Amino acid sequence: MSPRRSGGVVVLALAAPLWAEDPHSLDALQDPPAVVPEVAPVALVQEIQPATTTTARGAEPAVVASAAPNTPPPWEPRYRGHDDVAAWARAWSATGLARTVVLPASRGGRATPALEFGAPGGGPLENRPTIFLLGGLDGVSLAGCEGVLRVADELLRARDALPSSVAFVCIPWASPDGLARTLAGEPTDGRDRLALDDDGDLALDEDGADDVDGDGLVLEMLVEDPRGAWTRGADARFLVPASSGDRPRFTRTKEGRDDDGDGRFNEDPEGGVVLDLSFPVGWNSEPGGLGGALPLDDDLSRALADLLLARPPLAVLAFQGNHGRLARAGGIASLAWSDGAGSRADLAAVKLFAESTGRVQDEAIALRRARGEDRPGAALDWVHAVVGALACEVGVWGPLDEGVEARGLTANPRAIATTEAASFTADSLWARWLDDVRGGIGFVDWHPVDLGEGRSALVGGWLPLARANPPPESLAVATGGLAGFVRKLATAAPVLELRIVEASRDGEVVTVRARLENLGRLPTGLGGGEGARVTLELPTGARLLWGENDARLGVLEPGTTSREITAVALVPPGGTLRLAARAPWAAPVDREVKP
Amino acid sequence: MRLLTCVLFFASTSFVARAQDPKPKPEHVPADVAPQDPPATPLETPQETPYETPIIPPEAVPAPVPPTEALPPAVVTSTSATRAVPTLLAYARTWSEAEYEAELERLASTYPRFLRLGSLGTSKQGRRIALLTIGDLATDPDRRPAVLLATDLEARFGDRPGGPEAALFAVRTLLERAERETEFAEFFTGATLYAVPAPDPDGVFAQAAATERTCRLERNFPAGWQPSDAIECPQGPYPCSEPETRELARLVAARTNVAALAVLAVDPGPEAFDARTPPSAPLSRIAVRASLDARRLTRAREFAVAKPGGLAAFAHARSGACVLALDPWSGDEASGDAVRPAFAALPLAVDGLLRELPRLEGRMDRAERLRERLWLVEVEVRVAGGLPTASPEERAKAPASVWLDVEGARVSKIGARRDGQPTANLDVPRGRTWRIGHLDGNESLKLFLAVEGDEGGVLRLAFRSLRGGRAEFDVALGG
Repeated sequence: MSPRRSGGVVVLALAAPLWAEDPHSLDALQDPPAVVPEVAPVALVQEIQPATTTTARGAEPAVVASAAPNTPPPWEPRYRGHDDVAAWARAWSATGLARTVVLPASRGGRATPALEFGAPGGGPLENRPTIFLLGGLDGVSLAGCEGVLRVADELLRARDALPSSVAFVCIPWASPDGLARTLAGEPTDGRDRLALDDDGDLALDEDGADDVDGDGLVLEMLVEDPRGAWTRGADARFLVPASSGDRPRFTRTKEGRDDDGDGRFNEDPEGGVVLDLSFPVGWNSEPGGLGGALPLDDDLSRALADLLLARPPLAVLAFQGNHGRLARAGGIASLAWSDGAGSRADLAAVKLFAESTGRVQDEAIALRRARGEDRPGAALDWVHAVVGALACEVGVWGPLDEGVEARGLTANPRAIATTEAASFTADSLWARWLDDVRGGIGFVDWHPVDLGEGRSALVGGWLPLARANPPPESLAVATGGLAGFVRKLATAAPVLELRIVEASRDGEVVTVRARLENLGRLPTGLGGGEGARVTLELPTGARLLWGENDARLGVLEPGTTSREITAVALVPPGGTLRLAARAPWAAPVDREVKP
Repeated sequence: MRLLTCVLFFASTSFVARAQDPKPKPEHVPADVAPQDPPATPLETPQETPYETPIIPPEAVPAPVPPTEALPPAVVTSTSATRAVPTLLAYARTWSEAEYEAELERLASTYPRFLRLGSLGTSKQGRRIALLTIGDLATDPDRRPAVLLATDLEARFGDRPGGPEAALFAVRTLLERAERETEFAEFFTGATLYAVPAPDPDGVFAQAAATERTCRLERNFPAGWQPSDAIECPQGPYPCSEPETRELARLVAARTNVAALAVLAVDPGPEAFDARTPPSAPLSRIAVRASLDARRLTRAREFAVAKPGGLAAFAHARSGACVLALDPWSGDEASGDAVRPAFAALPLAVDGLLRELPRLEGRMDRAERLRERLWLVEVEVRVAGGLPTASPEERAKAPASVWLDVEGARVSKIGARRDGQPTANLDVPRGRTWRIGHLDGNESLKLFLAVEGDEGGVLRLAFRSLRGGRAEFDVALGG
């Protein structure tokens, strides 16, 4: 384990995303669609198929289908439930091409299917730099789960063509309880069912969302409040943060009544903890903050953290979110890495993502900007700070995936200027998708409801399988190119080469000079903590006279060579010296020298 | 400071030397931490709590006076042929693991009315992390305001790790007192003491070479925890990464009735931390009771709460706990047959802290009939103890920490009056529960209830609080 940077710990409230209860249950939509969708999306997504067959520096191996017995059927664009995913994992494990990774069950008792695999010939999987694929850790992104399933499926079918120096661990349903609730159509924000007193009134889960207007849906609710934080935007369907002088102003919440009579609405719903927000960096300890009573307090999230620490880390890819882009760590503003352009590794990942999916970004976007809200306690930030892996959120679904054009991405309700004149907001992008692609279907307009005791409110908002997760017919587009991205990332992993500049002997005095080179497209690590390192092991009876036998080289950028390492030693005739090169993101390299 | 002299007798059982090898993994004892109702409260970053506002200026702190309670004489008689009673002086030396476990069992069997011996879990090497629950066990101790007494996870007394002896000494003394004094036993019906004498049994009982841990436990709690640039990562890869800290943190999070923490830690010394904060009223009273320097207590408290990732910082941030830091190994050495003065002060200080707990008390003042079925009932609820029912941070997040449950008749309105303020109507209740609000230490609140009920009926009132326990009483309507 290589701990990384320090960052501030800030407690902030988290605006709960909204959900709805869909009369057309998600269960009914799990059957494969019988017809091709009417609206053919504009092909913004292209998966680049590499043509080379070598594993030389920078080249990509050909995609070759593996001929394993009893291979499960290929991925199809539909939503799967927990049992389906567990069966999928068992089926792949039975082929021998992948191994089951044992993780504890969730709080709700659901198993956590997980597999590890890699190309043969690269040594034990647990010793290889590892790419982790986590689906739906936020408990909401079913599209993220399908993204991981599709990526794993395609990688496994071409397993032999993967770089042998890299291992893969995939956990398609990383938050089983939250995802099960989302799949069931519950008005959840990704939390599990752990009963917590979110509002500090000694009662548990006593004020949750309700279907106030009796339409079978639980959507959003706007309560007029002179001190409310929101106001209607230019498009009256959507809200923007209120500023001084704006009227009317609203408090924004889920649809529901004040069940506990404390003047607040739905502040203590059923559950729980969002596993993606229960990590310790930037963790929100506030009641209702979705991070739980203690960080990583359940067996599953702690086991996940231990697994990430136990393997040599290359990358952790969390497939979730509806921003449609690749986001880097930076869930809250106070973290040191939230600002700026991101690391070179982040920028390299963005480039690879664009090459594979066609989704071009101006920059490596911090998580809070991509999401349009703070994410305190996000797993990515802990991975970045402590594990030291490349930490990315892959927004499988986004408003730009189906023919909506915009330059740059802005995810905040207030426009964030990018390099172009991008005045688009996430809402306006979604509005265009809704109107231009979906014909307006997917949003319930605001309508008044009576809350009783003289109070009224407006109810409306997005339907499920619209904004948070795509309609099933859009899953193919949403998940397209992701396997290619992961494959490219693995191929781009740093490759260490020890170049012996001199290995000479003058009697018993031996001189060794060496340099370490990074042949990959990614750096050898994030920097800070333990970087690249070369150690010299002398044979019995030998003695170092001067020079280095343990050289710390920091981060080696792609295509760069380290400084020269020199050691002069007294070595009996016939003695063999051993040089070992190590780096956080690269497979180890050993060379024997017998001058 | 007056030295106490005790006449001691020594029982016949010999105590073995500190074990060379770890104790075999004990039989699993179910963890004594079950999430209780009421549930967890918010976790805040550590900061000074204004509720400990000083009302006694430093210069007015009285000179320490001799304690009014004398230490009990050494207990001589054995409770059984196999369980010898250690002398009080025996607590002032290093114990072996076997001695420690034997004393736990002896206390549990000797004081079954007041002591329940449980386990938080097991350490990294499989040792039991003992949890002692002390109080009147005839009622539920987890629903009463409580003090948590724990040895610091990095207690270095002299050149060896701080052991459980000091905490056990305090526990034993208080138990003997409860057994002997009716008033003290009565007090234990309204308060609870949780004790964790050895939160890090591996660090205490294992040989140094056998303890493979790079993580410093006293940096591993989730208050002020930060990832580090250091390769060794002394605060752990994530908070509560070690079983010892995880179980202790869960105890603090689950036991929302804990209002105060007494931690036995090394006194930082006057040069270690410049505490300009004057002593608070509760600390000053405890200092008087235990013949300690209040400014020293304040400095030790500030030091303990300021340690990022420490137990005191976590308890303070998590539950607004009042922190009392004591060093039982400081000051004068023992003389003759007497324990050292710092040891002698321990149980008095813990007793003082127990008495500062926010214990709710209620009574009826009068019941007046207004109409045939309409009554005006005046009641009073007060906090007996210097600590409030909620810290300022908790008050900012939750509208109330004291509630009133009503049964037996319908209460249509309640007015509440605090000293010097006009009477204000309470909010509309949720069902039969009225939200009273927050109460400061030693504060009393008068309530006026408009009650609809028949002559001869009984109105049942129950005040309850996250940390103040319960106060229940009946009001007879007429008759």
